[in-house]
Amino acid sequence: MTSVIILASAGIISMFVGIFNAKRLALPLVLLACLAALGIVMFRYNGGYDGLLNNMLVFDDYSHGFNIVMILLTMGVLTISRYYYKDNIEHLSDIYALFIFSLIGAILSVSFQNLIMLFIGIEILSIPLYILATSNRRNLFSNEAGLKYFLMGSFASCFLLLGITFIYGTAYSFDMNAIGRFAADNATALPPMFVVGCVLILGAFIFKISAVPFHFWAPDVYQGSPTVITSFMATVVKTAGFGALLRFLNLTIINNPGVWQEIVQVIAILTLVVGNILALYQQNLKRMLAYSGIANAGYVLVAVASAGEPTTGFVLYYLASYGVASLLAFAVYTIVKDQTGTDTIEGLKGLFAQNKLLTITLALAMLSLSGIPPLAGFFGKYAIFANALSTGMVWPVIIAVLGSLVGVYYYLRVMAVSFSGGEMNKVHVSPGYAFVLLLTAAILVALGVMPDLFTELIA
Amino acid sequence: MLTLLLILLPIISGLIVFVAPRSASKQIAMISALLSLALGIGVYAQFDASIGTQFAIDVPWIDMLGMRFHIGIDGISMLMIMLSNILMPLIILSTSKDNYENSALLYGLMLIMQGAMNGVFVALDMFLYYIFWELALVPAYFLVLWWGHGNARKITFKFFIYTLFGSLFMLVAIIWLSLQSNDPSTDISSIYNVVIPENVQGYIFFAFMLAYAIKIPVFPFHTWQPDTYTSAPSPATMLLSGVMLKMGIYSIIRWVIPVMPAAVEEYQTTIIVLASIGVLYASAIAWVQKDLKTLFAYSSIAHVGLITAGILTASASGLQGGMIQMVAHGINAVGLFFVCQILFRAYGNHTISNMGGIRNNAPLFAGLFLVVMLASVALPLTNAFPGEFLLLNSVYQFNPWLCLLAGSGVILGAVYMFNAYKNVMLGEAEGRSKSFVEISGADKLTLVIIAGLIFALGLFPQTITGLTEHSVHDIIMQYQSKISGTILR
Repeated sequence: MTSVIILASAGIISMFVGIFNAKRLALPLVLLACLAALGIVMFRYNGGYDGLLNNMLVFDDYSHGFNIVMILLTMGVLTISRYYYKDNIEHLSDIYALFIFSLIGAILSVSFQNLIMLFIGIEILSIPLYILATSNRRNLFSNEAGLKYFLMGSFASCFLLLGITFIYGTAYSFDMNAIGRFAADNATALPPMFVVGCVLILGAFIFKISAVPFHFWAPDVYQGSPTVITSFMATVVKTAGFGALLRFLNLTIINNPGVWQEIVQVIAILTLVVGNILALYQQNLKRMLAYSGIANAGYVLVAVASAGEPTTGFVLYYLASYGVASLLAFAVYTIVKDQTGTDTIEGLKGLFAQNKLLTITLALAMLSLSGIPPLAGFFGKYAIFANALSTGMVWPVIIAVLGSLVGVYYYLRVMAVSFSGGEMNKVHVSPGYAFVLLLTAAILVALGVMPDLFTELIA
Repeated sequence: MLTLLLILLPIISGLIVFVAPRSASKQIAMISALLSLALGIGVYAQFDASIGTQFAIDVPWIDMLGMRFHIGIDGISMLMIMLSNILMPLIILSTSKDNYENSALLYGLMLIMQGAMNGVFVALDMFLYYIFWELALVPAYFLVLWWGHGNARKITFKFFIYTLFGSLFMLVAIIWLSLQSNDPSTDISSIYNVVIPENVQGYIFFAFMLAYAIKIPVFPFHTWQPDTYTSAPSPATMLLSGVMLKMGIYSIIRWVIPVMPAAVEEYQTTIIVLASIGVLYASAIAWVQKDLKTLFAYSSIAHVGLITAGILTASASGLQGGMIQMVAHGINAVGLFFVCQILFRAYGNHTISNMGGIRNNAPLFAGLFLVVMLASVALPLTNAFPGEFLLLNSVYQFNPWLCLLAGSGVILGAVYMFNAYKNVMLGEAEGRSKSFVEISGADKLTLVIIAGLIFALGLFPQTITGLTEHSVHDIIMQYQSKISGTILR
């Protein structure tokens, strides 16, 4: 809870900093707050069960694990934004504050022990994002992105509320322990209303993680939003969505696989197929990354569907590896777009001749996303496939393997284009940014070579 | 420790080459390759061919998935390590007169590839093996992409996707195998002890064989190979054909024959038939090639087809013949593709009809090319003869008709090779051939060393067979004991 309080105060102070015309202080402030929150979470790790607000919120190791990943990813996004936003932009400190508020929402929604807290968490996560998506006010696409995200997001919130209502109507409680007991007691014959409620809540999560069939918003919103916002949505928000989804499943109907397992499997397969195939046809790099995000949600869903004891660790590991690699790709894209104005994949031609560092870090990100050992993406996929096969899910794994083959095709295309010759404007990378890129790349390699360091932290 | 060094030395020197001054990259790469060779010889000197795995390192790595960092060297690994470490300095020597753009990257990638391939040959944990297997593919991809001729982007795509397609199914099979042991483990000891139900063995077998058939390549999975070999820069072609494809053959011996014996017994005919057809088919296609490098690429398909057929007989003579022939093919392929490169420097392409009459100006070059070519068609006293003899012998014992099929391919091989030699080297010099300059310096040295190796191994094939005899015997025992076990059950 301390970490949430620190973050919230930092967010509020950051808004005041804007009023007093000291915008430069905003970023160091929020980064420090993130660091402090990270320190507290890590310190509390293995501290056992920590229930708050009448057990509406519980910070256990599950939530600590997700929080560590989400705070780290947010820090990465914030660091990139230092180079994305020019100093003269309006409301810069408000933007940082909104990032922090959104992060708080993410933290709450992976730590909920009460359906009301889940709803509040998801809303705190989403509302700042609606504003952030439109934060480039003079850009039509950014406005479109914000509106689309808002409309679709409200729709998902309706699903969530309706689901909560149905569950309350059958289990007579918002408390997850009570609901879990109810599901266990009635395991043989769950009331249809309860099942409908669970499925509706699943639907809301499927929207948040941009899985098929609620994925349509993702490409437009990703493309239209300012790039740092996109990278935040693609990494932190997706991690939070999965964290909340898995927590909800674990606490309620994990032992009634008949209710949800087939649904999740079908959604996983559809997501893998649609995401991977549509990503093939993208010319715009951000759009391609959006579809790649959809496809990656499919792999994680395969892991979710194979729910077993080690699933949580694998899911988190995969999300971390995907998040770091995507962040790296977005970081490279940010600087290339800023200095050359290109946003297509073909526009990356000649990048290698201009800037080796950008090209090589981009290549690392793409290789990790396509699952080439010894990078993190490979171990994530391996763990998911192994876990799914051990529970007998042969077909989803075969589809996922074929999907990752298709994935190799479009990730590799980005890499091949960026290494090929062609005309390109000068691309300059400041030493600070180069350091950030190298650090992120190092994390990606370290996650791959020594996955145990990470999984021991989580499991 | 030495085993780890065999992997790390090339990889670390590769990284050093990346950042070192560009003018020194060739020298650093050469020094690294020679150090690796010295290291290889050092291990070889201490190696005891009469026992199994030596120089092992076995430490836990990823507990979550039950993976260990387990490496070690037995006779077969030793042979492959020696092959890769002998060829590497030769390949770098052969580039002495070429100046590649971004040479630091080129040599760095080559060294990293060498490290990864050495890793494949010594890995004794299947998961670790898979990592090195994929790792070797990445530098190969970049080597062909950046320095390839023609439509390199499209060709490398095909190459990468094709090989990865096979590997991913192998990955699923590896996962499946690891799940069969009580605590998930991919260590060779538990993989060798896994009892695979016979109805599943076929699926696992084909998942593995697909990866290897593409990598080797075995007909009809060979379509990526001629394009890639032709397009790739000369050192990359040498690495691909000299060492990388041996990864596939090595893997069949290490991971397929002892692990899935029932499936091998059931489907060996299928693979041998395909491989034998491949020998004949590739030879026939090679005959009509107008491009010398493509011709050598197809001849490579024919040679490895015969090796695959011999190995899949799962007999001692087949495996031993395969051992000899893998080394011989590695040396000869480097020689042939180097000849291509020398011609390419003079003509700017590999088109056979442009050439002719080179012997008049360059008798030494013609003589050395003749040696390499005779070795390639397996004339007695050359390195390929004992191997090819044993391989054909094993296929004959398996089925005389298949031996006839493969054998006619081998005979055809002699025809197109002599034909090509005649068109390139003999006759009257015309056009650019008139100004062809005799090879000298590093080029001469490279070809002389290759010719020396050809005769040395042709006269003393027992250096190879002696090295691998014990390990081959172990593999065959694994295979046969499991086969007879299933019959008893």
